[in-house]
Amino acid sequence: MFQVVADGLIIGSVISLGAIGLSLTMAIVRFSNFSHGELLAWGAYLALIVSSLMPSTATPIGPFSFGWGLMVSMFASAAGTALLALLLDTILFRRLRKQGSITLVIASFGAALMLRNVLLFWQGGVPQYYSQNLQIAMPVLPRSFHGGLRFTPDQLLVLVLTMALVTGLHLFLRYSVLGRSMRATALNPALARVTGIDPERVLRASWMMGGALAAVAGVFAGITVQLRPTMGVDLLLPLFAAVILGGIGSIWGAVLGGLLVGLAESASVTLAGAEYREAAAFAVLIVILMVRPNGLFGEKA
Amino acid sequence: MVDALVIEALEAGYEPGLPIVRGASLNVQAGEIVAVIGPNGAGKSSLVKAVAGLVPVSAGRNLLFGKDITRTPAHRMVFEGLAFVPQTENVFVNLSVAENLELAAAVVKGDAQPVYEVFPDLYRQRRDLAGRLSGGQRQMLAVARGLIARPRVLILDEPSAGLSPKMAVQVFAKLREVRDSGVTVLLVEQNVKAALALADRAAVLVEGKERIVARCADLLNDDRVAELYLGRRT
Repeated sequence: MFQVVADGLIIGSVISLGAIGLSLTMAIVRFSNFSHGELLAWGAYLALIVSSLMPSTATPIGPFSFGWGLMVSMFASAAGTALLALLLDTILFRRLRKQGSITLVIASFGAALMLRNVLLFWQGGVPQYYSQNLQIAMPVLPRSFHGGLRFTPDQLLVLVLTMALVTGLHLFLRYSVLGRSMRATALNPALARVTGIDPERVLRASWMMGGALAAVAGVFAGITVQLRPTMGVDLLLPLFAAVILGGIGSIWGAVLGGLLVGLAESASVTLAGAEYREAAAFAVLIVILMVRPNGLFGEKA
Repeated sequence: MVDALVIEALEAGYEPGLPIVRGASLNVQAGEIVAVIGPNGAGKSSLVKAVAGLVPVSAGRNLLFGKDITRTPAHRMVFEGLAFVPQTENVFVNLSVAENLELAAAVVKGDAQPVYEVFPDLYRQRRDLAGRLSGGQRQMLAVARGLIARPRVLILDEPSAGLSPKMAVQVFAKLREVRDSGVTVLLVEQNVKAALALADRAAVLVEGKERIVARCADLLNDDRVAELYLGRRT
Protein backbone atom coordinates (compact mmCIF):
# COMPACT_ATOMS: atom_id res chain seq x y z
CA MET A 1 0.00 0.00 0.00
CA PHE A 2 2.65 2.53 1.09
CA GLN A 3 5.01 1.18 -1.56
CA VAL A 4 2.36 1.71 -4.26
CA VAL A 5 2.02 5.34 -3.18
CA ALA A 6 5.78 5.83 -3.01
CA ASP A 7 6.33 4.30 -6.46
CA GLY A 8 3.51 6.46 -7.78
CA LEU A 9 5.15 9.60 -6.39
CA ILE A 10 8.48 8.72 -8.03
CA ILE A 11 6.88 8.13 -11.45
CA GLY A 12 4.67 11.17 -10.81
CA SER A 13 7.67 13.44 -10.13
CA VAL A 14 9.08 12.79 -13.59
CA ILE A 15 5.66 13.19 -15.21
CA SER A 16 5.00 16.41 -13.24
CA LEU A 17 8.21 18.11 -14.37
CA GLY A 18 7.61 17.16 -17.98
CA ALA A 19 3.97 18.18 -17.73
CA ILE A 20 4.79 21.67 -16.39
CA GLY A 21 6.77 22.50 -19.52
CA LEU A 22 4.10 21.01 -21.77
CA SER A 23 1.38 22.92 -19.92
CA LEU A 24 3.30 26.20 -20.31
CA THR A 25 3.72 25.77 -24.05
CA MET A 26 0.10 24.64 -24.46
CA ALA A 27 -1.15 27.72 -22.60
CA ILE A 28 1.22 30.31 -24.05
CA VAL A 29 2.13 29.01 -27.52
CA ARG A 30 -1.41 27.61 -27.80
CA PHE A 31 -0.98 24.22 -29.37
CA SER A 32 -0.43 20.63 -28.24
CA ASN A 33 3.26 19.98 -28.81
CA PHE A 34 3.71 16.29 -29.51
CA SER A 35 7.47 16.72 -29.72
CA HIS A 36 7.69 17.68 -26.04
CA GLY A 37 8.36 14.07 -25.01
CA GLU A 38 11.42 14.00 -27.25
CA LEU A 39 12.85 16.94 -25.33
CA LEU A 40 12.85 14.69 -22.23
CA ALA A 41 14.76 12.01 -24.14
CA TRP A 42 17.22 14.53 -25.58
CA GLY A 43 17.71 16.07 -22.14
CA ALA A 44 18.46 12.66 -20.64
CA TYR A 45 20.97 11.76 -23.37
CA LEU A 46 22.65 15.19 -23.39
CA ALA A 47 23.34 14.74 -19.67
CA LEU A 48 24.76 11.27 -20.38
CA ILE A 49 27.04 12.65 -23.09
CA VAL A 50 28.26 15.58 -20.99
CA SER A 51 28.86 13.39 -17.94
CA SER A 52 30.82 10.88 -20.08
CA LEU A 53 33.20 13.74 -20.92
CA MET A 54 34.02 14.05 -17.22
CA PRO A 55 34.84 10.46 -16.12
CA SER A 56 36.73 11.69 -13.05
CA THR A 57 33.48 13.07 -11.61
CA ALA A 58 31.62 9.74 -11.81
CA THR A 59 32.58 8.58 -8.30
CA PRO A 60 29.28 8.21 -6.42
CA ILE A 61 28.43 10.92 -3.89
CA GLY A 62 27.51 9.39 -0.51
CA PRO A 63 24.60 6.95 -0.82
CA PHE A 64 23.73 7.96 -4.40
CA SER A 65 24.52 5.92 -7.50
CA PHE A 66 26.08 8.83 -9.42
CA GLY A 67 28.79 11.43 -9.00
CA TRP A 68 28.52 15.19 -8.92
CA GLY A 69 29.39 15.20 -12.62
CA LEU A 70 25.84 14.08 -13.40
CA MET A 71 24.39 17.02 -11.47
CA VAL A 72 26.62 19.42 -13.42
CA SER A 73 25.67 17.60 -16.63
CA MET A 74 22.01 17.99 -15.75
CA PHE A 75 22.38 21.79 -15.70
CA ALA A 76 24.31 21.70 -18.98
CA SER A 77 21.64 19.45 -20.46
CA ALA A 78 18.87 21.77 -19.24
CA ALA A 79 20.59 24.68 -21.00
CA GLY A 80 21.17 22.61 -24.15
CA THR A 81 17.59 21.33 -24.27
CA ALA A 82 16.26 24.86 -23.68
CA LEU A 83 18.24 25.96 -26.74
CA LEU A 84 16.99 22.92 -28.69
CA ALA A 85 13.38 23.89 -27.85
CA LEU A 86 14.08 27.47 -28.92
CA LEU A 87 15.70 26.22 -32.13
CA LEU A 88 12.62 24.08 -32.89
CA ASP A 89 10.44 27.14 -32.48
CA THR A 90 12.70 29.34 -34.58
CA ILE A 91 13.12 27.02 -37.54
CA LEU A 92 9.73 25.31 -37.49
CA PHE A 93 6.88 26.45 -35.25
CA ARG A 94 7.31 30.23 -35.58
CA ARG A 95 7.04 29.99 -39.36
CA LEU A 96 3.80 28.01 -39.09
CA ARG A 97 2.16 29.95 -36.26
CA LYS A 98 -0.14 31.91 -38.58
CA GLN A 99 -1.39 28.67 -40.17
CA GLY A 100 -3.26 27.71 -36.99
CA SER A 101 -2.93 25.15 -34.24
CA ILE A 102 -3.76 22.05 -36.36
CA THR A 103 -0.78 22.75 -38.63
CA LEU A 104 1.43 23.21 -35.57
CA VAL A 105 0.25 19.93 -34.05
CA ILE A 106 0.99 18.01 -37.27
CA ALA A 107 4.38 19.74 -37.51
CA SER A 108 5.12 18.70 -33.93
CA PHE A 109 4.48 15.05 -34.88
CA GLY A 110 7.06 15.44 -37.64
CA ALA A 111 9.52 17.12 -35.27
CA ALA A 112 9.03 14.30 -32.76
CA LEU A 113 9.77 11.62 -35.36
CA MET A 114 12.85 13.47 -36.54
CA LEU A 115 14.22 14.06 -33.02
CA ARG A 116 13.57 10.48 -31.93
CA ASN A 117 15.23 8.93 -34.95
CA VAL A 118 18.26 11.22 -34.81
CA LEU A 119 18.70 10.12 -31.21
CA LEU A 120 18.25 6.47 -32.14
CA PHE A 121 20.80 6.79 -34.96
CA TRP A 122 23.24 8.65 -32.72
CA GLN A 123 22.96 6.69 -29.48
CA GLY A 124 21.56 3.31 -30.63
CA GLY A 125 18.53 1.49 -29.29
CA VAL A 126 20.20 -0.31 -26.39
CA PRO A 127 19.11 0.99 -22.97
CA GLN A 128 21.82 2.95 -21.16
CA TYR A 129 22.39 3.97 -17.53
CA TYR A 130 24.05 6.92 -15.86
CA SER A 131 25.77 4.57 -13.47
CA GLN A 132 26.51 0.86 -13.27
CA ASN A 133 26.43 1.04 -9.44
CA LEU A 134 23.64 -0.98 -7.92
CA GLN A 135 21.52 0.62 -5.23
CA ILE A 136 19.78 -1.25 -2.45
CA ALA A 137 16.43 0.24 -1.42
CA MET A 138 16.46 1.38 2.21
CA PRO A 139 13.59 0.13 4.37
CA VAL A 140 11.60 3.11 5.68
CA LEU A 141 8.68 1.06 7.08
CA PRO A 142 8.92 -2.66 8.02
CA ARG A 143 7.35 -5.23 5.70
CA SER A 144 4.95 -6.23 8.48
CA PHE A 145 3.37 -2.76 8.35
CA HIS A 146 0.98 -2.78 5.31
CA GLY A 147 3.64 -4.40 3.14
CA GLY A 148 6.37 -1.95 4.16
CA LEU A 149 8.05 0.90 2.33
CA ARG A 150 11.48 1.05 0.67
CA PHE A 151 13.19 3.88 -1.15
CA THR A 152 16.54 4.10 -2.91
CA PRO A 153 18.52 7.26 -2.07
CA ASP A 154 18.30 8.24 -5.77
CA GLN A 155 14.49 8.10 -5.62
CA LEU A 156 14.39 10.26 -2.51
CA LEU A 157 16.69 12.80 -4.14
CA VAL A 158 14.47 12.92 -7.24
CA LEU A 159 11.44 13.63 -5.04
CA VAL A 160 13.21 16.37 -3.08
CA LEU A 161 14.69 18.03 -6.18
CA THR A 162 11.31 17.95 -7.94
CA MET A 163 9.62 19.70 -5.03
CA ALA A 164 12.43 22.28 -4.85
CA LEU A 165 12.20 22.96 -8.59
CA VAL A 166 8.42 23.26 -8.54
CA THR A 167 8.55 25.65 -5.59
CA GLY A 168 11.22 27.76 -7.32
CA LEU A 169 9.16 27.84 -10.49
CA HIS A 170 6.06 28.82 -8.54
CA LEU A 171 7.93 31.73 -6.93
CA PHE A 172 9.30 32.78 -10.32
CA LEU A 173 5.86 32.79 -11.95
CA ARG A 174 4.26 34.51 -8.99
CA TYR A 175 6.74 37.29 -8.23
CA SER A 176 9.02 37.99 -11.22
CA VAL A 177 7.98 40.36 -14.01
CA LEU A 178 8.73 37.72 -16.66
CA GLY A 179 6.82 35.09 -14.70
CA ARG A 180 3.80 37.34 -14.29
CA SER A 181 4.04 38.27 -17.97
CA MET A 182 3.94 34.57 -18.83
CA ARG A 183 0.86 34.02 -16.66
CA ALA A 184 -0.79 37.09 -18.16
CA THR A 185 -0.05 35.96 -21.74
CA ALA A 186 -1.41 32.50 -21.00
CA LEU A 187 -4.61 34.02 -19.62
CA ASN A 188 -5.26 36.72 -22.20
CA PRO A 189 -2.73 37.27 -25.03
CA ALA A 190 -4.44 40.36 -26.51
CA LEU A 191 -4.66 42.12 -23.15
CA ALA A 192 -1.05 41.17 -22.42
CA ARG A 193 0.01 42.88 -25.65
CA VAL A 194 -1.84 46.12 -24.95
CA THR A 195 -0.35 46.09 -21.45
CA GLY A 196 3.07 46.29 -23.11
CA ILE A 197 4.18 42.66 -22.77
CA ASP A 198 6.29 41.54 -25.73
CA PRO A 199 4.65 38.27 -26.88
CA GLU A 200 7.81 37.02 -28.61
CA ARG A 201 9.86 37.42 -25.42
CA VAL A 202 7.25 35.45 -23.47
CA LEU A 203 7.16 32.73 -26.15
CA ARG A 204 10.94 32.40 -26.09
CA ALA A 205 10.93 32.16 -22.30
CA SER A 206 8.18 29.51 -22.41
CA TRP A 207 10.05 27.34 -24.91
CA MET A 208 13.29 27.60 -22.97
CA MET A 209 11.67 26.92 -19.62
CA GLY A 210 9.68 23.99 -21.04
CA GLY A 211 12.85 22.56 -22.62
CA ALA A 212 14.91 22.94 -19.44
CA LEU A 213 12.25 21.27 -17.28
CA ALA A 214 11.86 18.46 -19.82
CA ALA A 215 15.61 17.87 -19.65
CA VAL A 216 15.53 17.61 -15.85
CA ALA A 217 12.55 15.25 -16.06
CA GLY A 218 14.48 13.17 -18.59
CA VAL A 219 17.53 12.98 -16.32
CA PHE A 220 15.31 11.97 -13.39
CA ALA A 221 13.70 9.26 -15.56
CA GLY A 222 17.21 8.12 -16.51
CA ILE A 223 18.29 8.00 -12.87
CA THR A 224 15.24 6.10 -11.63
CA VAL A 225 14.64 3.83 -14.65
CA GLN A 226 16.99 3.88 -17.68
CA LEU A 227 17.71 5.82 -20.87
CA ARG A 228 16.10 4.73 -24.12
CA PRO A 229 15.57 6.76 -27.32
CA THR A 230 11.84 5.98 -27.02
CA MET A 231 11.56 7.17 -23.40
CA GLY A 232 10.04 10.47 -24.58
CA VAL A 233 7.27 8.99 -26.68
CA ASP A 234 6.56 6.45 -23.91
CA LEU A 235 6.01 9.33 -21.49
CA LEU A 236 4.05 11.52 -23.90
CA LEU A 237 0.54 10.25 -23.16
CA PRO A 238 0.99 10.40 -19.36
CA LEU A 239 2.31 13.96 -19.82
CA PHE A 240 -0.77 15.02 -21.75
CA ALA A 241 -3.01 13.24 -19.24
CA ALA A 242 -1.32 15.16 -16.40
CA VAL A 243 -1.67 18.53 -18.15
CA ILE A 244 -5.34 18.03 -18.97
CA LEU A 245 -6.04 16.58 -15.53
CA GLY A 246 -4.47 19.55 -13.77
CA GLY A 247 -5.84 22.20 -16.11
CA ILE A 248 -3.89 23.69 -19.00
CA GLY A 249 -1.56 26.49 -17.90
CA SER A 250 -1.59 25.64 -14.19
CA ILE A 251 1.78 24.79 -12.66
CA TRP A 252 0.35 23.21 -9.54
CA GLY A 253 -2.29 21.53 -11.70
CA ALA A 254 0.47 19.90 -13.77
CA VAL A 255 2.23 18.80 -10.57
CA LEU A 256 -0.90 17.33 -9.05
CA GLY A 257 -1.96 15.86 -12.40
CA GLY A 258 1.47 14.24 -12.77
CA LEU A 259 1.36 12.79 -9.28
CA LEU A 260 -2.18 11.44 -9.80
CA VAL A 261 -1.21 9.84 -13.11
CA GLY A 262 1.88 8.37 -11.42
CA LEU A 263 -0.24 6.98 -8.58
CA ALA A 264 -2.80 5.53 -11.00
CA GLU A 265 -0.03 3.85 -13.00
CA SER A 266 1.63 2.48 -9.88
CA ALA A 267 -1.67 1.17 -8.46
CA SER A 268 -2.61 -0.49 -11.75
CA VAL A 269 0.77 -2.27 -11.96
CA THR A 270 0.20 -3.73 -8.48
CA LEU A 271 -3.53 -4.42 -8.73
CA ALA A 272 -4.16 -5.29 -12.38
CA GLY A 273 -0.82 -5.73 -14.14
CA ALA A 274 1.66 -3.52 -16.01
CA GLU A 275 -0.27 -3.80 -19.28
CA TYR A 276 -3.09 -1.70 -17.80
CA ARG A 277 -0.76 1.10 -16.72
CA GLU A 278 -1.73 3.74 -19.29
CA ALA A 279 -5.37 2.68 -19.25
CA ALA A 280 -5.50 3.40 -15.50
CA ALA A 281 -4.07 6.89 -16.01
CA PHE A 282 -6.70 7.66 -18.61
CA ALA A 283 -9.49 6.22 -16.48
CA VAL A 284 -8.57 8.73 -13.76
CA LEU A 285 -8.44 11.47 -16.40
CA ILE A 286 -11.93 10.63 -17.70
CA VAL A 287 -13.45 10.48 -14.22
CA ILE A 288 -11.99 13.85 -13.18
CA LEU A 289 -12.93 15.56 -16.44
CA MET A 290 -16.52 14.40 -15.98
CA VAL A 291 -16.59 16.28 -12.68
CA ARG A 292 -14.32 19.21 -13.64
CA PRO A 293 -14.22 19.68 -17.44
CA ASN A 294 -11.46 22.33 -17.21
CA GLY A 295 -9.25 20.10 -15.08
CA LEU A 296 -8.48 20.38 -11.38
CA PHE A 297 -7.01 23.89 -11.52
CA GLY A 298 -8.18 24.99 -14.95
CA GLU A 299 -10.20 28.17 -15.21
CA LYS A 300 -11.61 30.03 -18.12
CA ALA A 301 -9.56 33.14 -18.87
CA MET B 1 -5.18 73.06 -30.83
CA VAL B 2 -2.73 70.15 -31.14
CA ASP B 3 -3.82 66.97 -32.87
CA ALA B 4 -3.30 64.17 -30.36
CA LEU B 5 -4.49 61.40 -32.67
CA VAL B 6 -5.08 61.58 -36.40
CA ILE B 7 -6.70 58.67 -38.22
CA GLU B 8 -6.32 59.08 -41.98
CA ALA B 9 -8.36 57.06 -44.51
CA LEU B 10 -7.86 53.93 -42.45
CA GLU B 11 -8.70 50.52 -43.86
CA ALA B 12 -8.44 47.53 -41.53
CA GLY B 13 -9.85 44.05 -41.03
CA TYR B 14 -9.04 40.57 -39.82
CA GLU B 15 -9.04 38.91 -43.27
CA PRO B 16 -7.03 40.21 -46.24
CA GLY B 17 -9.36 41.80 -48.80
CA LEU B 18 -12.28 42.03 -46.36
CA PRO B 19 -11.88 45.38 -44.61
CA ILE B 20 -14.24 46.18 -41.75
CA VAL B 21 -12.93 49.71 -41.41
CA ARG B 22 -13.25 51.30 -44.85
CA GLY B 23 -11.45 54.58 -45.18
CA ALA B 24 -12.31 56.08 -41.78
CA SER B 25 -10.77 59.44 -40.84
CA LEU B 26 -10.89 61.25 -37.52
CA ASN B 27 -8.90 63.92 -35.68
CA VAL B 28 -8.80 63.90 -31.89
CA GLN B 29 -7.38 67.07 -30.39
CA ALA B 30 -5.31 67.10 -27.22
CA GLY B 31 -7.46 67.32 -24.10
CA GLU B 32 -10.65 66.25 -25.86
CA ILE B 33 -13.01 63.39 -25.23
CA VAL B 34 -14.21 62.06 -28.57
CA ALA B 35 -16.83 59.33 -28.86
CA VAL B 36 -17.29 56.96 -31.79
CA ILE B 37 -20.91 55.90 -32.11
CA GLY B 38 -22.82 54.01 -34.74
CA PRO B 39 -25.04 51.00 -35.36
CA ASN B 40 -23.98 47.42 -34.63
CA GLY B 41 -21.48 46.13 -37.15
CA ALA B 42 -20.37 49.62 -38.18
CA GLY B 43 -16.73 48.75 -37.37
CA LYS B 44 -16.38 50.92 -34.24
CA SER B 45 -14.45 48.35 -32.19
CA SER B 46 -12.36 47.32 -35.19
CA LEU B 47 -11.46 50.99 -35.76
CA VAL B 48 -10.05 51.51 -32.26
CA LYS B 49 -8.43 48.07 -32.23
CA ALA B 50 -6.71 48.94 -35.52
CA VAL B 51 -5.39 52.14 -33.94
CA ALA B 52 -4.17 50.08 -30.95
CA GLY B 53 -2.38 47.63 -33.25
CA LEU B 54 -4.69 44.67 -32.64
CA VAL B 55 -6.34 44.58 -36.08
CA PRO B 56 -4.18 44.55 -39.24
CA VAL B 57 -4.24 47.84 -41.20
CA SER B 58 -4.28 47.51 -44.99
CA ALA B 59 -4.33 51.21 -45.94
CA GLY B 60 -4.25 54.68 -44.41
CA ARG B 61 -2.29 55.75 -41.35
CA ASN B 62 -2.53 56.74 -37.70
CA LEU B 63 -0.53 59.59 -36.20
CA LEU B 64 0.01 60.03 -32.46
CA PHE B 65 1.09 63.61 -31.79
CA GLY B 66 2.46 63.67 -35.33
CA LYS B 67 4.33 60.34 -35.12
CA ASP B 68 3.22 57.56 -37.47
CA ILE B 69 2.16 54.59 -35.32
CA THR B 70 0.33 52.65 -38.05
CA ARG B 71 2.78 49.74 -38.02
CA THR B 72 3.76 49.96 -34.35
CA PRO B 73 3.15 46.54 -32.69
CA ALA B 74 0.39 46.50 -30.07
CA HIS B 75 2.87 45.84 -27.24
CA ARG B 76 4.88 48.97 -28.12
CA MET B 77 1.86 51.33 -28.05
CA VAL B 78 2.06 52.01 -24.31
CA PHE B 79 5.66 53.12 -24.78
CA GLU B 80 4.51 55.56 -27.49
CA GLY B 81 1.93 57.05 -25.11
CA LEU B 82 -1.23 55.26 -26.24
CA ALA B 83 -3.17 52.97 -23.90
CA PHE B 84 -6.08 50.77 -24.93
CA VAL B 85 -8.81 49.35 -22.70
CA PRO B 86 -10.64 46.46 -24.44
CA GLN B 87 -14.39 45.97 -24.09
CA THR B 88 -14.36 42.47 -22.62
CA GLU B 89 -11.71 40.40 -20.86
CA ASN B 90 -9.98 43.64 -19.99
CA VAL B 91 -8.35 42.48 -16.76
CA PHE B 92 -6.27 39.42 -15.92
CA VAL B 93 -8.92 37.51 -14.00
CA ASN B 94 -6.57 35.05 -12.29
CA LEU B 95 -4.30 37.81 -10.99
CA SER B 96 -5.14 39.97 -7.99
CA VAL B 97 -5.98 43.66 -8.40
CA ALA B 98 -2.49 44.54 -7.15
CA GLU B 99 -0.84 42.01 -9.51
CA ASN B 100 -2.77 43.46 -12.47
CA LEU B 101 -1.54 46.96 -11.69
CA GLU B 102 1.98 45.99 -10.61
CA LEU B 103 2.47 43.96 -13.78
CA ALA B 104 1.39 46.90 -15.95
CA ALA B 105 3.70 49.18 -13.93
CA ALA B 106 6.65 46.79 -14.08
CA VAL B 107 6.39 46.39 -17.85
CA VAL B 108 6.71 50.16 -18.41
CA LYS B 109 9.03 50.58 -15.38
CA GLY B 110 6.39 52.78 -13.79
CA ASP B 111 4.68 52.96 -10.43
CA ALA B 112 1.25 51.62 -9.49
CA GLN B 113 0.93 53.83 -6.40
CA PRO B 114 -0.32 57.04 -8.07
CA VAL B 115 -3.16 55.09 -9.68
CA TYR B 116 -4.38 53.96 -6.25
CA GLU B 117 -4.78 57.64 -5.36
CA VAL B 118 -7.10 58.11 -8.35
CA PHE B 119 -8.93 54.83 -7.65
CA PRO B 120 -8.99 54.44 -3.85
CA ASP B 121 -11.51 51.56 -4.05
CA LEU B 122 -8.93 49.50 -5.92
CA TYR B 123 -6.44 50.01 -3.11
CA ARG B 124 -8.96 48.58 -0.65
CA GLN B 125 -9.53 45.59 -2.98
CA ARG B 126 -5.90 45.15 -4.02
CA ARG B 127 -5.67 41.60 -2.66
CA ASP B 128 -8.89 40.41 -4.34
CA LEU B 129 -8.75 38.38 -7.52
CA ALA B 130 -9.71 40.57 -10.48
CA GLY B 131 -12.08 37.84 -11.63
CA ARG B 132 -14.12 38.26 -8.44
CA LEU B 133 -14.73 42.01 -8.93
CA SER B 134 -18.13 43.34 -10.00
CA GLY B 135 -18.50 44.60 -13.57
CA GLY B 136 -18.05 48.22 -12.54
CA GLN B 137 -15.04 47.54 -10.33
CA ARG B 138 -13.50 45.49 -13.09
CA GLN B 139 -13.98 48.37 -15.54
CA MET B 140 -12.35 50.75 -13.06
CA LEU B 141 -9.41 48.34 -12.80
CA ALA B 142 -9.19 48.16 -16.59
CA VAL B 143 -9.08 51.96 -16.83
CA ALA B 144 -6.54 52.13 -14.00
CA ARG B 145 -4.37 49.54 -15.77
CA GLY B 146 -4.50 51.68 -18.90
CA LEU B 147 -3.42 54.78 -16.97
CA ILE B 148 -0.41 53.13 -15.32
CA ALA B 149 1.78 53.87 -18.34
CA ARG B 150 0.81 57.58 -18.04
CA PRO B 151 -0.53 57.63 -21.61
CA ARG B 152 -1.17 60.80 -23.56
CA VAL B 153 -4.11 59.16 -25.31
CA LEU B 154 -6.46 56.64 -23.70
CA ILE B 155 -8.71 54.58 -25.98
CA LEU B 156 -11.64 52.65 -24.52
CA ASP B 157 -13.86 50.14 -26.30
CA GLU B 158 -17.39 50.39 -24.86
CA PRO B 159 -16.50 51.18 -21.25
CA SER B 160 -20.15 51.01 -20.13
CA ALA B 161 -20.89 47.61 -21.72
CA GLY B 162 -22.58 45.31 -19.24
CA LEU B 163 -22.68 47.91 -16.47
CA SER B 164 -25.73 49.10 -14.56
CA PRO B 165 -26.73 52.71 -15.39
CA LYS B 166 -25.49 53.82 -11.96
CA MET B 167 -22.12 52.14 -12.46
CA ALA B 168 -21.83 53.52 -16.00
CA VAL B 169 -22.30 57.05 -14.59
CA GLN B 170 -19.42 56.43 -12.17
CA VAL B 171 -17.15 55.14 -14.93
CA PHE B 172 -17.96 58.15 -17.12
CA ALA B 173 -17.32 60.53 -14.19
CA LYS B 174 -13.91 58.89 -13.79
CA LEU B 175 -13.20 59.38 -17.49
CA ARG B 176 -13.94 63.11 -17.08
CA GLU B 177 -11.37 63.18 -14.27
CA VAL B 178 -8.91 61.39 -16.53
CA ARG B 179 -9.44 64.00 -19.25
CA ASP B 180 -9.12 66.83 -16.72
CA SER B 181 -5.74 65.39 -15.72
CA GLY B 182 -4.55 66.03 -19.28
CA VAL B 183 -5.17 62.70 -20.98
CA THR B 184 -6.94 62.73 -24.36
CA VAL B 185 -9.76 60.19 -24.51
CA LEU B 186 -11.22 58.36 -27.51
CA LEU B 187 -14.02 55.94 -26.75
CA VAL B 188 -16.38 53.68 -28.61
CA GLU B 189 -19.81 53.58 -27.01
CA GLN B 190 -23.14 51.88 -27.67
CA ASN B 191 -24.91 54.02 -25.12
CA VAL B 192 -25.31 57.00 -27.45
CA LYS B 193 -27.04 59.35 -25.02
CA ALA B 194 -24.42 58.81 -22.33
CA ALA B 195 -21.59 59.10 -24.85
CA LEU B 196 -22.88 62.37 -26.24
CA ALA B 197 -23.33 63.71 -22.70
CA LEU B 198 -19.73 62.81 -21.82
CA ALA B 199 -17.78 63.65 -24.97
CA ASP B 200 -16.84 66.97 -26.52
CA ARG B 201 -17.22 65.68 -30.05
CA ALA B 202 -18.46 62.48 -31.64
CA ALA B 203 -18.07 60.62 -34.89
CA VAL B 204 -20.91 58.60 -36.31
CA LEU B 205 -19.45 55.53 -38.01
CA VAL B 206 -21.50 53.66 -40.62
CA GLU B 207 -20.16 50.72 -42.63
CA GLY B 208 -16.61 51.36 -41.55
CA LYS B 209 -16.47 55.06 -42.43
CA GLU B 210 -17.32 58.21 -40.53
CA ARG B 211 -20.55 59.80 -41.74
CA ILE B 212 -20.79 62.75 -39.37
CA VAL B 213 -18.19 64.29 -37.07
CA ALA B 214 -19.49 67.15 -34.95
CA ARG B 215 -19.74 68.63 -31.49
CA CYS B 216 -21.97 66.51 -29.28
CA ALA B 217 -24.38 69.38 -28.61
CA ASP B 218 -24.92 69.67 -32.37
CA LEU B 219 -25.31 65.93 -32.81
CA LEU B 220 -27.95 65.76 -30.11
CA ASN B 221 -30.03 68.13 -32.24
CA ASP B 222 -29.10 66.51 -35.54
CA ASP B 223 -32.20 64.94 -37.03
CA ARG B 224 -30.22 62.21 -38.80
CA VAL B 225 -28.62 61.08 -35.55
CA ALA B 226 -31.84 61.44 -33.64
CA GLU B 227 -33.69 59.25 -36.06
CA LEU B 228 -30.97 56.70 -36.59
CA TYR B 229 -29.60 56.23 -33.11
CA LEU B 230 -31.84 57.85 -30.54
CA GLY B 231 -35.13 56.54 -31.90
CA ARG B 232 -36.65 60.04 -32.13
CA ARG B 233 -38.99 60.74 -35.04
CA THR B 234 -38.71 64.14 -36.76
